[in-house]
Amino acid sequence: MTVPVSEIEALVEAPTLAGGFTTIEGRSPGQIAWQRIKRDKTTMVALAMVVLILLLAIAAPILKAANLIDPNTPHTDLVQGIGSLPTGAFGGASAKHWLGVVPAVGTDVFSRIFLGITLDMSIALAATVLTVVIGVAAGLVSGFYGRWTDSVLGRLMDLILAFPQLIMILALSPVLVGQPPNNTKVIIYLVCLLAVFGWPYLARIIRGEVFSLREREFVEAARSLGARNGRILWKELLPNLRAPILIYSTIILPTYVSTEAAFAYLGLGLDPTTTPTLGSILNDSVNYSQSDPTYFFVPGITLVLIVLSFNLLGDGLGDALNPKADRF
Amino acid sequence: MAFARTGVRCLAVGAAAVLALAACSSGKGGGSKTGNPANPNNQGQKKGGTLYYDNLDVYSHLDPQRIYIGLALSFATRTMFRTLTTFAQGEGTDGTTIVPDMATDLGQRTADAKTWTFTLKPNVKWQDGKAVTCADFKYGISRTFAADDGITAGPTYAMDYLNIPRAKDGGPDYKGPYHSTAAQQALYDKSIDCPTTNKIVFHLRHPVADFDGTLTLTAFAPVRKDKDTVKKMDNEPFSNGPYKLQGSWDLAHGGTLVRNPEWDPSSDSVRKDYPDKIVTSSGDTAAVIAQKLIADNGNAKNTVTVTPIPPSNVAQVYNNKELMKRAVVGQQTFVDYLSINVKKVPDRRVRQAIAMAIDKTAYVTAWGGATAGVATNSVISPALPAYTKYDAFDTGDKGNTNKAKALLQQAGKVGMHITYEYRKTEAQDKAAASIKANLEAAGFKVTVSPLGYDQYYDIIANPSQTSEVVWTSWGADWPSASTVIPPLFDGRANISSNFLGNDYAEYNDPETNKAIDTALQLTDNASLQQAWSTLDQKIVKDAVVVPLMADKAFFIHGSNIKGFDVWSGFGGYPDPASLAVQ
Repeated sequence: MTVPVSEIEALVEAPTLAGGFTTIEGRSPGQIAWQRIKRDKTTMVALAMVVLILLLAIAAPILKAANLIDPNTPHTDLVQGIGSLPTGAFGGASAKHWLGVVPAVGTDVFSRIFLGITLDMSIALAATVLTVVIGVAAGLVSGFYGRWTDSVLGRLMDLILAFPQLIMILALSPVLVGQPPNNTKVIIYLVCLLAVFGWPYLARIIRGEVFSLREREFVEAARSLGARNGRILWKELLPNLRAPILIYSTIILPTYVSTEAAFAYLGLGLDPTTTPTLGSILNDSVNYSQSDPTYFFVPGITLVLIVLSFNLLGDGLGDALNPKADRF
Repeated sequence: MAFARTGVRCLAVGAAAVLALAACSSGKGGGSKTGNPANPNNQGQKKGGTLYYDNLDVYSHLDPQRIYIGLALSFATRTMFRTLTTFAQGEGTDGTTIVPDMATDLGQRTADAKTWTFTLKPNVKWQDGKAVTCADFKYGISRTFAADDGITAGPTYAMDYLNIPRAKDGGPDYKGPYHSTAAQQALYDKSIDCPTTNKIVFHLRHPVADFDGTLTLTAFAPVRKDKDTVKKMDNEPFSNGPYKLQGSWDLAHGGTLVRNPEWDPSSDSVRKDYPDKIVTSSGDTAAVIAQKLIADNGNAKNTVTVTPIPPSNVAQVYNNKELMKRAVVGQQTFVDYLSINVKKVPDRRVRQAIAMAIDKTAYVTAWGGATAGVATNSVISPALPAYTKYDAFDTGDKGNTNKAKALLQQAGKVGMHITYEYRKTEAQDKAAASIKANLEAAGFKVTVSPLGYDQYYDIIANPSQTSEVVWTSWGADWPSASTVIPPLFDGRANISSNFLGNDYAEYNDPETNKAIDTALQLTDNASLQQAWSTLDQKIVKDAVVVPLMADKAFFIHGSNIKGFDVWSGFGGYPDPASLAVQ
């Protein structure tokens, strides 16, 4: 992996102007971080991939509305014979169906994956935002006020972290989602659960940061000038927490994408006839791992690429924003 | 009840249906009755070993009067619960031939087919060595009436057929052996006579030309009064067959059967007790079961299953010569069909447009192709003598979108909203995608609503929860369309204010009901089956139902298994009476 560039080195590095004069230009921490990222090829590739994934996710519903992709129309003439496998090599890939068709029904795999990315990213993004909101709020309050507030919140976090999440989620799903499951409810349920079980990790990180920040001089100064707690939390502490929040968000987002896939595999997912997600496509395709490997590998590889890109980006951001931190 | 894929109803021909039986078995020689002779696996079975069952589905009940699903019927009647008549072994018409079991013959009937007399074989015994008597049959059959005491879910033919005066609600004036008054018990006692301990006389309300077929159901099996534990019978069955229970039976997981030394092989012409022990388990998914059997390791070598290979694994088995040595495709007696609710879709033209729009071949494809079944136009399975081949709307199996569109326009209902309810599985999801696309192409707006497995039939039989179009499936109880048309389409018997019975279309047509009454008076089975076929065509042309597929099942078994057929007796499942392990 890349060697973190030291902070000093970045600060003394100065552009040379045309006239031969050298000026020391002041740069914000953001600019410094961006400089570091630009030098890190892996992170740049990951960033490009993430941008591409986000663009695809935004494009899919528009293309669907324009009838350029069609995830739901069956083409049973393309899946024939015993076992109803796609006719032709590579899962029935053709000029019309770039990644082949789904066995037994003949819907277009490319369109389904494309739309699946949108849904997966929407769920993961929503859950991440919710996690960050809860986690940061809890971490700030807990770290800043300390004492019994910290104790109560700390024990709550312990409780949640000690929970057998997966079992709870599966056990509760029929109760909360209802039978038959309905897509809107499933989405809300997934987003809420991911956030409920995800926030304590972020809250702990934030709490630790706040512990050290609240003793710093600028906080003392604000307080001696008469700033209220609200202002100190909002204006003094929060801006200094941007780095851990950004890094943590980039790291939990892909775990949420893969968790959605895992839930779909365990049967808690969206209705695959109308709403393809990577998880539900994977869930169906696992059964065809031997008879139609193309269909199995395409959603799998897509999922790996998404998770890998976000993880690498998160790592790179961590290095750039927090170069002295140890890597695990 | 409707139970395809998980359950059954089946087929076989009544003795009175000699003509029909002869017709469907014509061209077949004597043949072996112990497994398909063409299959080299089916020769040289030996005694010994442990046979394992690894199933997706549970045997919902093991109380003889409560068993109704085919996979449980076929298992239970071959191992523990003998009946007066039963089905011979084998596939196709071999397995639907009715033969005497505990009785010496197929019964003596009067010309009006309203009185049937049977004589018990001398050496039929319970697992404690006591003889099975007429009183045991009479007591067992009386339990069918005890729905109030929790004896539910079984077939109700005893209530329909036995000559017991009707109460005010239209049902028989008898509430089973636990809570009836002396007067009510006397009414029941008149319907079944025991002139001697080994002679049984049934008195029926109307002619039942195929009553010997009815008696194959375990609902007509004997129960010993001193061994009746009412609801606990599901866990503690008392056997009179070649096997008996060891320990207790867990409905969710299964149990272990061992040899019953009191069973006398000379009294039994169909059952062969090859394995020493039979162990059943339930709960794996179809894909896991298929993978275990494909891998063929350890106990899987001695394992059979009632769960067909799921569509996604079909090609893997079918294209592998080695695996095909252990795999069998067999005809089942289920027909999958759509019910169109006549209250919600009262316009016949709209219903016909739905029927014309559906591509039945796409449905078959979703299930994995020809190993899953064939597209059909009749609710009566091709395995039944009453089956007639016809094309109700001249649209072929692929449907005709243009014809459907034109008819829908004519009815002025373009853009009509339809909800399609089905029981969720992966194959059903794919079939639903096709059905939705077919109907939308014809001008409907469609919402698909996949429902959970367990409560599916409860939901679609609830008038406030059922929708315009629902998926369902049915198999005959014995090879007679008397177990198809009246149970599905007699609105009087099915529909009450909050329950639709099996009549998910809410169809209650006076003309059809009258035709059913007329048919039930027929004493000749061939004309009876003809009458059912005529009614079937009328109902399909009215587009009350859209038949989709006549089911087949594709099973794989372990490499040590011998004597495996898809026994057509109760729907099309493996037959414990011929299975052996070596």
